[in-house]
Amino acid sequence: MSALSTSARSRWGRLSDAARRWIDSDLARDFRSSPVALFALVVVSLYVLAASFPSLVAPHPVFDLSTLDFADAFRPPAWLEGGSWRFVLGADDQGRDVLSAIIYGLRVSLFVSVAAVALSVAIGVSLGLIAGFYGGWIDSLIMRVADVQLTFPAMLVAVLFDGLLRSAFGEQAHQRHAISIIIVAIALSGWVQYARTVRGSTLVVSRHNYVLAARMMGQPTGFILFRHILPNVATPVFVIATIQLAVAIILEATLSFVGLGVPPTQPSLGTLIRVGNGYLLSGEWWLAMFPGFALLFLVLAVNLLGDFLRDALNPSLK
Amino acid sequence: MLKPTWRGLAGIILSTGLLVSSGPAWTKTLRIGAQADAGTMDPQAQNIQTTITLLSMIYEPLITRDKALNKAPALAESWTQTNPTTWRFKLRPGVKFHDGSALSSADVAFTILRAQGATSQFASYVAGLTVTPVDDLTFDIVSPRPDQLLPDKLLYVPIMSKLWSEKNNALTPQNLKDKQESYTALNANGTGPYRLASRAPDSKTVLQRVPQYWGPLDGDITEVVWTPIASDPTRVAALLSGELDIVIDVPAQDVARLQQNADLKIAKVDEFRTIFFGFDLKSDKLKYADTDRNPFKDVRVRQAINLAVDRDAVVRTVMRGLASPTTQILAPGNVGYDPALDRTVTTNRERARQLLAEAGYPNGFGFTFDCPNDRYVNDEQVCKTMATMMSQIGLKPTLNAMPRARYFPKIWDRDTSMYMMGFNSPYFDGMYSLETMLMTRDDKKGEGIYNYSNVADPALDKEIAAARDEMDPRKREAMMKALYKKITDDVFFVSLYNQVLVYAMRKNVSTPVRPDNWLEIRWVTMN
Amino acid sequence: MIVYLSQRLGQTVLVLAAVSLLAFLMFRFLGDPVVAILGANSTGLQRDELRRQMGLDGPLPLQFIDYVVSMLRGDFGLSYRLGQPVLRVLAERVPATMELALVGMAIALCIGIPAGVYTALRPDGLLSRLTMAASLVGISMPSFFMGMLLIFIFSVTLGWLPSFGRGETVRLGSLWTTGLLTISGLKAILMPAITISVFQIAMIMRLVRAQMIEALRTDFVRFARARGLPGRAVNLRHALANTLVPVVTVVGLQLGSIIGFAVVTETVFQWPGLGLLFLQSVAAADIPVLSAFLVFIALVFVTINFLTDLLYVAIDPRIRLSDKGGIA
Repeated sequence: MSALSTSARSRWGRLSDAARRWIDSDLARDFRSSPVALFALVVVSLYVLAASFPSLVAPHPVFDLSTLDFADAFRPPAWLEGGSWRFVLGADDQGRDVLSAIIYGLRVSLFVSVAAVALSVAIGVSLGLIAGFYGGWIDSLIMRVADVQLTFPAMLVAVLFDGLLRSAFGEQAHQRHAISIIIVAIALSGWVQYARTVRGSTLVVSRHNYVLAARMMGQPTGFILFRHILPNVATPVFVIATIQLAVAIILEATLSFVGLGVPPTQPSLGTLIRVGNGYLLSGEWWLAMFPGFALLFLVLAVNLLGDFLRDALNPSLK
Repeated sequence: MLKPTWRGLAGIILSTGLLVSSGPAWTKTLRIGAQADAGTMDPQAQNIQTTITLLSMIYEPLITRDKALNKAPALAESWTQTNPTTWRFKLRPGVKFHDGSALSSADVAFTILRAQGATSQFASYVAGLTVTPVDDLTFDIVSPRPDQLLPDKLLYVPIMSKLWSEKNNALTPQNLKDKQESYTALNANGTGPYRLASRAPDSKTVLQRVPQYWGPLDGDITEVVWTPIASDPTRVAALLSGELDIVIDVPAQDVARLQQNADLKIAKVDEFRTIFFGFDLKSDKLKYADTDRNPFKDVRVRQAINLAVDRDAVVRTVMRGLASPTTQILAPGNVGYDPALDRTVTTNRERARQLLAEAGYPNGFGFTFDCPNDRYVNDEQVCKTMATMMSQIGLKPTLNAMPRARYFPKIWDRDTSMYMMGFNSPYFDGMYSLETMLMTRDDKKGEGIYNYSNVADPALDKEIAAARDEMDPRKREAMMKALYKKITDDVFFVSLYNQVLVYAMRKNVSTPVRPDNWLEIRWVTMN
Repeated sequence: MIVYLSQRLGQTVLVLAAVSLLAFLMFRFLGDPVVAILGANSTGLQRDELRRQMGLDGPLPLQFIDYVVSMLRGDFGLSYRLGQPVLRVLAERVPATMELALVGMAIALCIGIPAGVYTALRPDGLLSRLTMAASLVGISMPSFFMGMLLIFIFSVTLGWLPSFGRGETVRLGSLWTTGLLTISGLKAILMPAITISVFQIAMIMRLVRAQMIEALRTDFVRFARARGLPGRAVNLRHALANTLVPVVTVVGLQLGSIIGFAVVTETVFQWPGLGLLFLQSVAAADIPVLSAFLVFIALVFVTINFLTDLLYVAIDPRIRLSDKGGIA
C-alpha cells in the first residue's frame, strides 16, 4: 500500500519535474509571450482531444446508422426556428447530428493527415539520413528523385497516386483500403522537404568530431545515425512537420471533396463539405458551412502554431 | 392505341406548352443545362436518355411521337402491316441529310444492320429484323416473329446515312477496336432540324437550326447550346444568375427556391421512371460480401430489405415530395401497370429482422452496393438513405458511389452484388422491362440485355415469351399483370419510388414536359 | 555557366525520360487497354488477337521504345472515355488552364508584392497586422471552400458573376481559344482566378516581406539612406530590386502549383481545362489520358523550371549557380 503510494508519488514527482522544466523552458516562455500562439495551441489541443475521444464529446453516435431517425432530417441549428438543442448545429439528410458528424469527421481527417505526415517524415528522414551519411551515388540518386518529385505540386502528386493506386487495386479493394491509400498518397507527396533538410544537416553533422570518433570506434552505422545525427536534425523536422500537417489536412479535405478521398460511409470533413455543397442553395446552409469553418479554423490554428514554432525554434528556416 | 390515360396526359402536356409558331426573325439561343454530357455523338452507342435527347435534335427516326405521345410519321410517311411478320414502309420524299445527300431505303437498311452490331446498345429494338428495299423510298421490314410493337421500337432507331458512315469508316457504333479514332464520337450527320455546329466534350455542344429542314416546327429556337454541369449547386446557380435558359435535371431540394424566383418557372410531370435496387441473383457466393453464400438468392433476405425501406421517408426527405412511393418496377401509364402493386408492403423492421434470422443471418452480413452519383435525381443521397435503412435491420452495407462513366460499364459487365437502377419503358409497355431485365441474357435476340441480376429461369423465360407473343391485347395485358405480380411478390427488385420530373426554365421559355424525360426541341419556344 | 545550364538541361531530359517510363508502365499495366477496349466479357482469343494487333505482345523494352516513338509523334492513343486522340483532347483544354493560371498569377503579383512591401516598411502598423492576419487565413483556406463561398455570395446571392465555364470564347489561330477578349469571358474568369490566387497572394506577400526586411537591414541600403537619398527611392530601387530574385523563382515554381491546384478550382467552377479533364479521367480510369497528362505536366514543369533558371542568371549574374543545383 505505502509502496504503491510512494511509487505513485515519485511518478507524480517526476511528472511535475518535467512540467516544471517545460514551464521554465525557452519554448514555454515564448508561448507565454505570444497570446496568439497560446490560443492556437489551445484550439489545436481541443480539436485533437475531440478527435481522440469522439464518443465522449459527440452528442450522438452518428456512425451507428441504425440510431438515425429520418424524422430529424434537415433540422436547422438550435437557434433557428424548428431547431432543437439535441442537434445544436442542425441535422443532415439522414437525420444525423451535424456537430457529431463534424467531430467524427475530424477524427478521420486528423487521423489521415497525422498518419500521412508521420509516414512522410519516416520516408523523408530515412532517405535524408542515408543520402547525407553515405553520399556518392546513393545521395545523387535520392536527391535526383527528390528533384523530379519537387517539380510536381503536392496536390497533383496526391491525386495521381490516388488514381494510380485506385486502378492498381481495383474498385473493390480500393474501397477497403481507401484510407490507407489516401494516407500513402499524401505521404508520398510530402517527403522531399524532410529529405532535403535532413540531408543538409547530416552532411554538416557527420563531419563533426564526435561523429567521426564514433565511426572510428566502430559503432554500427544505424546506431550512429540514430544516436548522434538524428537528434541534431529533429528540431527542423518537427517544425516542417507542423507546417506540413496543415498542408496534409487541406490535401485530405480536397481529395475527399472531389470524391477521390475516403469513402462516403466514413465521412471526413472534406466529404461532409462535398455532401453539404449540394444543399447550399436549398437553404440547408449549415450542412456545408459548419464543417467548412471547422476545417478552416483547424488549418488556421495549425498554421499559426507552425509559424510560431518556426520563429521560436529555428529562425533559419524563415 | 390511344388509351384513356393518354388523353388525360396529353391534355396536361398541351396545357403546359405554349404553341406559338412564328418565324425566327432573330437568333433565339436556348441554353440547356444538364447534369452530364451526352457520352458520344454516335446515335447507337449509348442508350442513356441524356444522349438520346441531345441526339434526337440532330437525328430522326422513321416514326416519332406527337404531343399526345401517339405515334406520328417522321421520316416514314406511312407504314402498314402486310402480313403478321412484315411491315411495309414508305419514306418521305425529298428529305436530305445535313451533308446534302438524299435519304433512301438503303440508309434505313444500313442503319438497322448497324444497330444490330456487337457494340450497339440498341440491338434489342431491332433484334432479328431484316430490311428489304423495294425501291428508293419503299422497303419491307421482316421480323422473326409477329411483333405488334415493331413500329414503337423503331422510334428509338435514328436513321444514319450509309454513304457518310462508309466514307468516315463508322460502320459500327463507336468502334475503338481498330485503334482508329471513332468519327461518330464527335461528328453527326442526321436529317433533323438542327445540325451539330461544334462539340467540346464535357463543356459545350452547339447545334444550329437547319434552314432547309423538311418538316414543320412548332418551336422557334435557332440555336441550342448544351452545357453539362456536374455539380448540382453550380448548375442551379447558373440558372438563377441567368447563364442558362433551362435545366432538365433539377435537384429536388432546389425546386422550392427556384419557384420563388420571379424570372423562373417550374414545370413538372410524373415521370415514367421507377427507381429501384437489384441484386446478384446468380452467383453462389456473393462477390462483394463477407459471407460465403449469396444471401440475396434467398427470397426472405430480399423481403427483409423490402420491409426495411421507409419509402415515405425517402420521398419526404431526399426527394422533397417530388416522387411517389411504389413497390413495383413499373410506373403508371405503362401497359401492364397494376395499381395494386404500388403498396404491397409497409415498413416493418421487426419482421425484417425476423426474416433475416430465419434465413440464417441473425447478425446480418456485410456487402457493398453500387450506385451512380451523377445519373438520377439525388442518386447518391438516396443510396446513403438506403444504406441507413438497411443498417437499421442489422445489415452492414457499404456504399460504393461513382460517376456514371464508371458505374454503367461496371454493371454492364454484371460486376456487382447489388445495384441501383432507374428504368422506364421507352414505348410505355411493361413488356420492355420484362424482356430486357428478367429474361435469360441473349444479346443476339435482345433478351435480358439489362438483366444485371443475372436471372436465368427457363420457366420465367417461357412465361414472358408467351405474354410477348400473345396477339390479343387484353389477354396479353392480363398475362403481364400476372408476371408483374410474381416478380413483385418474389422481390426480384426492391423498388422505391417513381420520380417526378422537374424542368426549371426562364419565364420566356415554354416547353411541354414529356413523362419519359425527353426534351423535344421541336416544341420549345422562346419569346 | 554553360556547364551549369547544360547540366540542368541534361537533368531535364532525365526527368522527362523517367516520367515517360512511369507513364508507359501506367499505360501498359493499369486498366489493361485490351480489356478496356474489348470489355470484360471478351474471350481470351479475342484479347490475344488485339494484343498482337496493337503490338502489345513483344518484349517490354521494345514496347517502351514504341511508346516513346509514337509519343514523340504526338500519338498518345485514344481516350477510352471520349473516343478521340488524347493529344487533341489535351490540346483543347490547354488554353483554358493556361489563361486561368496566368490571370491568377497576375492577380497574386499585383496584390502580393505591394502588400509585402508595405508590411515590411511598416511592420507595426495596424493595416500591416491586419494584412498579415489575412495572409494567414489565405494560406489556411482550402481552395474548394473558397470557391464555394464565392459562388454562394457573388453568383447566387448577388447574381453578379457567372458560376461556371469560360463564357464567350474567341478563337485565335487554329489552336488557341481565349476568353479574355469578351466581357462574359472576363466576368467568368474572375472568380476562378481569385480562388486560385488567394494562396499565392499570401505566399508572395510573405516572401516579399521577409526579403524586404532582410534587404532593409543590409549595409548598402543603410548607406544609401545615409547618403541622404529619399526613403521611397531607397526602398524601391535598392531594397525591392534585391527581393526580386527569390520572387521570380517562387513565381516560376508556383505557376506549377497553380496548375496543380487548378484541378480543384476547375471542378468547382466547371472550368473546361486540364484539371477538370484530369479529374474526370481519374474518375473514369481513362488511363491513356492520365499517362499523357503526366508526360505533358512534366514537360510544362521542367520547361518552367529551366526558364526560371535562365531568368535567375539574367537578373542576378552574381549568383554562384553551382551552389544552386538543389533548386529544381
